[in-house]
Amino acid sequence: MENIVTVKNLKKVYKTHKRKQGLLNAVKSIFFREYENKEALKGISFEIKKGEIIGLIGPNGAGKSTTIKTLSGFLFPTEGEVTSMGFTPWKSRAKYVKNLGVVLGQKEQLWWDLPAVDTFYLSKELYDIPKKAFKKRLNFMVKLLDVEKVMHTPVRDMSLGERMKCKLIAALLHNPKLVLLDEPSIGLDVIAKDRFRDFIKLVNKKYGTTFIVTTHDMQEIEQLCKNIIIINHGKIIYNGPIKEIKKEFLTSKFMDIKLESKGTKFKFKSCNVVEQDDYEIKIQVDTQKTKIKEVINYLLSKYDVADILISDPPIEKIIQKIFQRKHEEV
Amino acid sequence: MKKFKGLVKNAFKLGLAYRAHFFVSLIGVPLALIIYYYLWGSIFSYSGQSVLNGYTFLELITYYALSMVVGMLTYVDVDAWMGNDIKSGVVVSDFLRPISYIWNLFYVTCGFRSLAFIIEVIPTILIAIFFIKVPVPSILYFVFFLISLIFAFLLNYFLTFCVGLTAFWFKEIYGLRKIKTAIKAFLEGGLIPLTFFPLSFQVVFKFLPFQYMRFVPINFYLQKYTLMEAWPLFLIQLIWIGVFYLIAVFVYKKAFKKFAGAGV
Amino acid sequence: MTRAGIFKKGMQLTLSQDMAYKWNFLITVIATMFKDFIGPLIIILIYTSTSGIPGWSLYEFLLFQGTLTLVFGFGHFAFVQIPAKVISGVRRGTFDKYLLKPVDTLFYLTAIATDWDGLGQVAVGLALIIFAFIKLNLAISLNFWIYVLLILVAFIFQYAIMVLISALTFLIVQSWALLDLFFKISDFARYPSSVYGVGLRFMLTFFFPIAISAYYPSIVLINGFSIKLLLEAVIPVFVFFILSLYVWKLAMRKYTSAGG
Repeated sequence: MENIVTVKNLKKVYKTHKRKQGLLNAVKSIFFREYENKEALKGISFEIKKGEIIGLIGPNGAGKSTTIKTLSGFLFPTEGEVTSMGFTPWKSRAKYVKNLGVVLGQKEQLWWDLPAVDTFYLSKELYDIPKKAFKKRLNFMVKLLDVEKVMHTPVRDMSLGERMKCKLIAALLHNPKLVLLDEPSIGLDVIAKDRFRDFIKLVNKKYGTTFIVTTHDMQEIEQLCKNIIIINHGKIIYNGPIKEIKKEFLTSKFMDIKLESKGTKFKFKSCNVVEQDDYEIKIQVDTQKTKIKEVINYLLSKYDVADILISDPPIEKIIQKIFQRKHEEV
Repeated sequence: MKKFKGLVKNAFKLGLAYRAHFFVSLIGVPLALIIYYYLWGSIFSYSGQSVLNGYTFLELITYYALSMVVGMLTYVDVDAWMGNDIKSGVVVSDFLRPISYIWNLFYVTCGFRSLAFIIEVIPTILIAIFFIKVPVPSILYFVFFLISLIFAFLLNYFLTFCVGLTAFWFKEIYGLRKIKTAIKAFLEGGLIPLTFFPLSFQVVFKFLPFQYMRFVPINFYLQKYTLMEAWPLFLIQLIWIGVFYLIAVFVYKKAFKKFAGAGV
Repeated sequence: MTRAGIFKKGMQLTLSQDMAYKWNFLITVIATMFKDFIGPLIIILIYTSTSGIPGWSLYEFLLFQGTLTLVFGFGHFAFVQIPAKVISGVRRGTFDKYLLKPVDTLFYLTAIATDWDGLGQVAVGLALIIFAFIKLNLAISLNFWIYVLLILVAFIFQYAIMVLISALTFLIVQSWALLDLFFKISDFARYPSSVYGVGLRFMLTFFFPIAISAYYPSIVLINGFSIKLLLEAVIPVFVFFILSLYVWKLAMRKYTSAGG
């Protein structure tokens, strides 16, 4: 698969002015301003293949939004090369953006007092979408996301979930090849999040649209993306499949055991009891020191087991570990 | 402690906001005075008279400078705040303390006006003095000026508060506020002394609250009233303050009853 | 042509948006019209109790004010939302959404800048002009067409100012103060340049073509024109216009390097 985005040695340095506290400094700032340099990106490189859904993870201030803004074409770097869909984003912004879709999760993008459908028709004009294709695509997405009725109500009267769906439609109407999703499902309930993910996967499969998803929601990343890029302090810490991360950093498993009859207090080597009551035991097993097989055998011999559920620790814990490890390395 | 931090933060933001205001006033005031100087200069010389409708040229320019000062000191923005707070629903927390909503906003307004005094009024006075030989009234009339100024401020506050209350019944009051500002500007004598209006109009104005918000204080400074005329004027100012205060309290209580239960 | 299509859609959407709160819209229009009648009313008051302003009869002055109201009204209708949206966007961090559109940013902002409130002002201006026109017994002559031309030039000046203020938002902090300042300086335009001394007049004409707004068109309609007058009126505006576009380009470059 060929690359849709290639980033080489991207560096970005910001000039920000120091804001000092206190009245005296406020007065001073009327006349003088002190500046300092902030290195948002310290030279990152990565490639994204066509048709991928890739996750971009990192704590706040890591350089995620700088990267997204550069890919959106309205930020140019201090150094480095970026090629996206054959363009250098900031050089031919208007042309480049014709094939780009962007959803900014926390910012309004639709006209607040108007029905969402009005914004859709404005997009039709802006992107010069032929009538037939526009209607077909609009109906397809509107049916899938179940907003047929809602899109005729003013955006200000919509729920958060409905707004998000409409934002997503607005971003996809012109059939962009690349879509950037910046915290798209923040504030959505579980069902809405599910629908949202299914929709992305469907569009990705049907149209081959490449998605870059920035989010703090690890579950979302796990369900949507095969590969992830982890960024921290302006550097890429990891770029590859999620599977590999889990393998490397997975040093424990969680076990949830349900009992038929009351059991005694649980104790086993390298096992940490998270919770225990009369009919349920929750433990964390250090898999580097103990084999799961051994724990199971012990349980079966000592307790009246009804059910055993074995799961990985939440991916947040894994990512946290990665950050910690890299921090220590630095 | 949290509240204190919040207040400090706001004062800080205010400082930054006022920085721009400061520079704009600094340019706006001499600009306005220049315009009036040239305009009225040519009107006076063309008419060949030294007094027009009760004012000499010097008094008229002073009139405009005073109009700016009085405007700055009595400026009230509560209707805008209320419009926003009520529309967004934030006001509900203030509902827990009925009467103090009125006075709460009053104290905040006083705070702003005090800041304005330093940042806007003093520079204005200095600029005016630099441009023209500003006549100075006797101590008695200056005191009259101050008293009528305070009354004018109170009057404007309660009137504006009443306008702000309409936000409980109309979603958007921006248009209504604009009309109020336009009517007020015209009828309170800020743009031209009311003596330029036909006599019949001037009689009607005496029965409206507007002239007592700007025209009257200015005239006290310029010593345009006799001692006999002074007391009735103060009385009328107080009556109007009372009227709007009562309306404010009454309507507010109604709004409270109607909306506090249902939620805004 | 898609540009026209975008413009048309923009005007449609802004109309729907402005009418979202119908009563407020109506009242705002009335309030603005009210404000615009105040100026002429004051002039009438002045003319009834004094000899008026030298060089201008009452109706000539009303023509002047009507022209001014028309020009600023059109500026309100077509352009004032450009700096308003820019300032609001920068302040709230939502300006980026304008940069995500597949068209030139300034063009897009202009296409969605229609503020239908402004029609009230335009109406008042036209009413005053027509009224004064009749009272002055003017005819549709060559002077009239030059008058119209100069009004169009004044519209261009309005656009240039709005673009400049928008651009300065990125280069200076708190440029809403500039918008304020602009309207304060525009006060100068409220009275004919002949009222001011020669020095001030020169400044008004050459460094800040405010005078183009009402003075030049009105003078031409009343007294006729000369080539010199036309050049004086038109050239500074075009220079200013080109300058404003240039400053906008600079501002966009700065914004895209700083990332907002």
